[in-house]
Amino acid sequence: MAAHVSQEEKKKLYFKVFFALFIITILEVAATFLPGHKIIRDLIIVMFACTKAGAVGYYYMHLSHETKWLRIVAVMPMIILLYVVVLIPDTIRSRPTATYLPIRPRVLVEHHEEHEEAEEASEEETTHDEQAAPAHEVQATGSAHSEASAAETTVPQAGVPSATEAAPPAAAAPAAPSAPAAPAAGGGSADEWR
Amino acid sequence: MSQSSHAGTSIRRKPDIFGGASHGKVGMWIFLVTDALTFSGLLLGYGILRAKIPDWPVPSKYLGISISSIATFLLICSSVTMVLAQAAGEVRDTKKMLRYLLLTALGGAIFLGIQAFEYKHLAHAMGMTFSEFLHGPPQFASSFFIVTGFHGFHVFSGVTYLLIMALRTFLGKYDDGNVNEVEICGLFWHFVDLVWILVFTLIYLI
Repeated sequence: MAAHVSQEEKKKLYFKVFFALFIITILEVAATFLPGHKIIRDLIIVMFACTKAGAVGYYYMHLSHETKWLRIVAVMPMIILLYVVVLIPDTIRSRPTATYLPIRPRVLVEHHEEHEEAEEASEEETTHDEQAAPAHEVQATGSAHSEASAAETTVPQAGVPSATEAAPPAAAAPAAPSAPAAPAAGGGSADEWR
Repeated sequence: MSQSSHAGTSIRRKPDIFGGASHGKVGMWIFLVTDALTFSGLLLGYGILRAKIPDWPVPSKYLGISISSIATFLLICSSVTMVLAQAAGEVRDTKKMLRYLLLTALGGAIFLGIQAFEYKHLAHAMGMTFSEFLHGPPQFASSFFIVTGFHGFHVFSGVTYLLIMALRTFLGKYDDGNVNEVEICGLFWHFVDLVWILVFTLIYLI
């Protein structure tokens, strides 16, 4: 700690940092209303946030007075950025995979539970190799593919309830009977239920 | 005055690679590193969900930015009162320190109140629960609640921590100007503020 800095100077610095944080927060919120490309806007906002976080760490958490090694310990969590770099290509390559089912009556969910499980089981088998394939491709070559891949198709065709013929119930894994919260998968059958 | 501000450093060990920072302080920093990694994991998961789900809603359309901006401002204010408490303690002004500590805790408590109000509003007006969301993918609601809820729990712990520190100040534990323990508490509190800055940006603004 800087024992030589007088109390008044310290307080002055604290208030200066506070005003900086305050102003940057206002700028940050204002930046959300900027026109232009969303990615550029987001980058600006994240930059503001990182500046603020850095200021809090450096001045309020007194990293300005600490040794090099304690600072290194403090920025250790940045390691996560390595993981981010690894995940970005993977995420881009496999998007979009997840679809959601709109909120619907519980009765229907229980009624179709068996399908749900069968679908989930079949999807688990194919998820890894089929994810990258675009939906239309799967549809076009649907007959050539296994039945399971047809169930995975995200765009359901009217009159062709693909889910019903795919994946015999025998293949259903012993999933928990309380599955209604799970159906983030299998958007194909969502339209049938409505 | 300079003599008394020296007193605040009396607990320091002999200088090493951490410059003689107390065991407690180094320990708190290491804890904060692990905690930061937990938050990074949650935020990373949020980012992946958001990137993968094509019809992710615009957050500012459903989450109130104005009220969360006020909450952000409150946390920044409470960070200032925290450093002021420490500064007051270093010159043995325990009365002022106690007042600032209580103000800091109050800021945290109001933040929690705002968050509770916000949750209630979102549940009623937007149909947001842990697993459901009326206007889009349920993952939007789940990720929102888990990240802000985890942070809110940190605020709750922080307020408890601050109140204990205030009680100890009241009992005269820091009358000698040795505020190392208060500084460690401050580290935790500033960390909570720092995380909120990032959460506010990534969950609400972007």
